[in-house]
Amino acid sequence: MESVMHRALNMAFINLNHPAHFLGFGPFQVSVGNFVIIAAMFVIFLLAIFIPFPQGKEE
Amino acid sequence: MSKSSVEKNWTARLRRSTLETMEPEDLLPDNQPAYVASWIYVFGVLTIASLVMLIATGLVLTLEGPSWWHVSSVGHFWNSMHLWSVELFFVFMVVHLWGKFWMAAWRGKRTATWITGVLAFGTSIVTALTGYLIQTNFDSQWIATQAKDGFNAMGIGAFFNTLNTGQAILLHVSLLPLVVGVIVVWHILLVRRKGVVPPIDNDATIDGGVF
Amino acid sequence: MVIKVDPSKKWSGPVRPYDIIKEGVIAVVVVALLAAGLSLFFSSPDDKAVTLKSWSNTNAPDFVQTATGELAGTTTSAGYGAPYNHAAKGPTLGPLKLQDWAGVRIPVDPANSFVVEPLLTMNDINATESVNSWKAASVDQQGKWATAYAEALSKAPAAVSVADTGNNFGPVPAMITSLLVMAKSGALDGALTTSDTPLPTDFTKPLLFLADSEGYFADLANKQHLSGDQWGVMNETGSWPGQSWLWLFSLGYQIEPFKSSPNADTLVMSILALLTIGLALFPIFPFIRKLPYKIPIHRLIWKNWYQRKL
Repeated sequence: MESVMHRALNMAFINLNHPAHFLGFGPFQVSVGNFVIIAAMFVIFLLAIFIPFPQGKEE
Repeated sequence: MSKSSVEKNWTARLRRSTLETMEPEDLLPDNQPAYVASWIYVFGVLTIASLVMLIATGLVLTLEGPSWWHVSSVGHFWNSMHLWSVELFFVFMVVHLWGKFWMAAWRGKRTATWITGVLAFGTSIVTALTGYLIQTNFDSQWIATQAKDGFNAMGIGAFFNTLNTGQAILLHVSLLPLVVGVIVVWHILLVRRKGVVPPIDNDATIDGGVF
Repeated sequence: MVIKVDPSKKWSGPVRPYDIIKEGVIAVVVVALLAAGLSLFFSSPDDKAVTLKSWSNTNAPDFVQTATGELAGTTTSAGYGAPYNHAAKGPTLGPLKLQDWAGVRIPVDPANSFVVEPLLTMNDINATESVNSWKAASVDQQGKWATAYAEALSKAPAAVSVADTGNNFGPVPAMITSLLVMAKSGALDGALTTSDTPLPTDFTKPLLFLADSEGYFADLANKQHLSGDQWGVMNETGSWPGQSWLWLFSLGYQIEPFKSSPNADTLVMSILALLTIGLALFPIFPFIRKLPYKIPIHRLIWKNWYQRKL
């Protein structure tokens, strides 16, 4: 069964099967994976409100 | 038919109230207000699309059972699809929520739309928990033993036993998707019925422009 | 001049073309491609499940100490209370006895469920004899034997058994040694999951037993930063993203007064429940509902609309 997991992970271009790294200070710690997801939410929100939307015809 | 006999007829009453509150053009529109022109508006439909992917990938996993993905690399791929659909689902839902907050989208008697949205958020989190419980690996074992303390502390652990994998599977695959589905459909119907909320500066109900 | 409309009325102003079905289909295709890309790039974690077999083979002293603790009544399960047993009163929220109100609906008596009954399923005369000695003794005597053996084991943390030089341990060492053999073979996993029904789907007993382990189960979780005081509620095994949407719930367990409170679960869960209800009621809170007007992010969202010439 572990060989299936390894096969599946070998197919993955980026291997995340290792101990996580953590960012933060004192009691506030966040894993890099979670930080990326949370940062992506902020970035996507900012892009969504700043990037111009194509103006079509009006009726 | 006389008015009194229509009122007694449940079918006629349902048909009449449905057609009165929702016209076909509201349900399946081919135009929208001209102010609906920002990328922030696509995050509702992206959230729905993620839910569609969750159901589709979930059905694939259902076909082969809960242990399939441990023993098959194809199964593992579909598990990955299901897991990443969850991450996308919550990312898009949160961006959608932020957008709706800063647009004060509850205006114009749209409080129910906001509330059903929060309900959808909450029930999705509970559904996600049951999903993590049925991974049948170490992570699910750990989550089960930790979550049980939270549930027990609130008095519901006697009924929702996180250590009972069979119960978790049935909740995750059957009951909770139904609950989430009903709430999401209700939310979407409210959006279609009320229309997209007009911009804040055009809102006549905000007294004298003083906020 | 700015057109002012009643937002509760249907919009009768300018419209633009919209294809709701096409939008939905494009969204599904986009999400499918994103999910496929992420799956191919990053895959997903699958740390193998642990068993009483893997536990006893990896860390036999820890297994032996925990099993003795079950007999002595000193483990978490043995002293949990509702919904498993009557050993303790659960935490309360003011006058609300939240944990206890439903009673014992998932009965687990660790000494009998995890040790005595499984031993009786073995076809082992020695195990059966030691169990019979145990059952013939008073509850008081059982407690004395188990507590004495637990103390002896704690003084020899690497040992899987201790000789009974003072005749204080009764049948306990024999029971625990037989249980260790049973666990190492995998038979204990089977016995605990089939105790109520022959085809198992409920893993309450083995998981409660595993959760009582201090040196094995919790240690594996700590290494992956999954413990409550490591923001574990948010984390995933390996380096994958976890459940970032549980950030506020996880935060509760990192800060005082919750961090060191024995009532932490009740307090954090209750506060999160209240905050969620609060989120649902945002539209009626005076300060919160005015925030979008005070911080006009909407001016970016509707920038083109506001700039239209009338």
